[in-house]
Formats: sequence, C-alpha cells, structure tokens
Amino acid sequence: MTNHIEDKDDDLLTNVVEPDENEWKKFIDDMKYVRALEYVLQNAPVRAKDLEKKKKASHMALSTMMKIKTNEIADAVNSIPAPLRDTLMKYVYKGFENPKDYSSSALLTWHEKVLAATGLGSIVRVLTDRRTV
Amino acid sequence: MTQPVPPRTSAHKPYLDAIRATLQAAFCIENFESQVVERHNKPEVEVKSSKQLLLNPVTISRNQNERILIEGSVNSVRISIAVKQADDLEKILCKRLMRFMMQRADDFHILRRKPIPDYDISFLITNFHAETMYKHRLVDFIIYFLEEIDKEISEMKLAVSSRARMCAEEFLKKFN
Repeated sequence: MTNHIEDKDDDLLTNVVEPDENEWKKFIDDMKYVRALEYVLQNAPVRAKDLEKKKKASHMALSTMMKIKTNEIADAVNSIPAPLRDTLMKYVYKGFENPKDYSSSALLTWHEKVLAATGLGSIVRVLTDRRTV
Repeated sequence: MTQPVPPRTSAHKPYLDAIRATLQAAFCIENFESQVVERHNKPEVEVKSSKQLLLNPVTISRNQNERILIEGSVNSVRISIAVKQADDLEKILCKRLMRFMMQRADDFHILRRKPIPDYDISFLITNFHAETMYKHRLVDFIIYFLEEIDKEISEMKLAVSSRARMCAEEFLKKFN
C-alpha cells in the first residue's frame, strides 16, 4: 500500500502543530477549498492534548468539507496525498458525532469516496490510531 | 473480506454501506484473557480494564435522531443503535419493541440486556460469537436489523392507526 504512515516524529511529543486560522481563511476566500482542506489536514493537531485546539481544527476541516460540492468530492479525495487521507477519514467520523452542525448526508458521501480511495485500512486506522483529531 | 453489497433500493444505502465497512473493520477480535483476574475472560469493551485494549469509539449518523455507535476492543465489539422516532407514538412503539427483545436477550446471543444511555438498543459481540458464527453473517445481520427495524415500526404505526379508525367506526355506528 502506498498510504503508509511515517512515524518518524513519534518521539517528539512536544511537536504540536495546529492550522493557522488566517492562512485557512485566505484559501477559503480564494475559493481554493481543496487546498484549504489539505492545509488543515497537514497541520491537524493530532498530538495536542488541548481539546479546544482540536475542536477549532475540526471545525475548520469540516466546514471546508461542507463547502465542497457533492460531485467534486471524488476529485478532491484523489488530489489529497495518500497519507493525509487517514486524517481526512478521522475528520469524517468526527463530523458524524455532531449531526446538528454538519450534514450527515454529505459526510456519508465523503465516507464513501475516501473508503473507495483507501480501502478498509483507513477505517482500521481511525479505530486504532491514538493520534485522534 | 469485502463482498459485493446486494443492490438496495432504499434511500439510506450510503448510511448502511458506511456502517457495513466500519463493522468489517471493527470485527478483528480475538480471544483475550483478563489481565486483572486469572482464568477470567471478559468483554473488554464492557469492563474497560485498560485503555490499551480499547479502540476509538466511532459514531455514524444519518440525521440527528438516527445514529449508530460502534465501540471496539481487543475481544469484543459493542454496537448501539438509535432508531428514528418522529413522534410520541413511534417513541412508545420503539420502546415496547426493544423491551420485548431485550427481555429475551439470552436467546438472542448477541443482544445486550440494556442499551447504552441515549441509544435504543445495543448489541455486544464477543470473540466467542465471532468464532461460532460467521463474521460476515453477523455484519449482514446488523445491517438487516437496521433495515427492518424502521420498516417494522412504521408498519406497527399504521396498524395502530387503522385499528383506532375501525374502533371509532364501530363505536360511532351506534349513533346512526
């Protein structure tokens, strides 16, 4: 499989990244939603202990996903690099926890497309990975 | 392990497909003896004796009322379902039906005697169930259950109102 996760930085527990809101806004304002999503996924605070940070980042990721049209989802998933698709799947499941805020039917489409691109592996990694989003 | 999904006409196909895939991923369970008590074997998802043995719980929702919670662990999976309840009649029908089934949980093998708070019905599948039954059949059963439960409740709802109509008709005939 090509979507092998590199665990190089496992010992750097302090290495907490988080997406910058201004940077993200810039992509959104330029209508580059896929680029914005990729940016958030790249900088997802998976190691952060602070739940507030995770909440903010998941709001950025999910609201971007809501902005991408249904017929463009497949292309969006394909253009996202393989290692980031697992993080994307984590955000899909995160979104399901808040059906009030994020449309479940859109998330189901996302789920289907990501699953088609990665296979069951991404779900297994959502279930087992301790680096939650 | 992915087998072709039989064609379904219903609108909630994506929902069921997402559940099917997640269940297939979560059903990697094996025999695991308790780390706390010797010669005991407990479903870790229930006793939660160690954080290392549990998987991240995931939710899949179709809308605010209909959702499913899948909690995995090394030797057991707990699946909790919240069924669609649009009005008070559906609520009471659902409650009665689930109660009926859960009282007979012993004969039902994988049914949990009590649902998780906020959910209507829970299944608990351990490695012993997965060993004595086919895993893919268990997944099929959960999907089938989800499909049927909505149908069952709406049929019961229709039956209740048609019965009420008949009763009213019979009663009012006297005043003709």
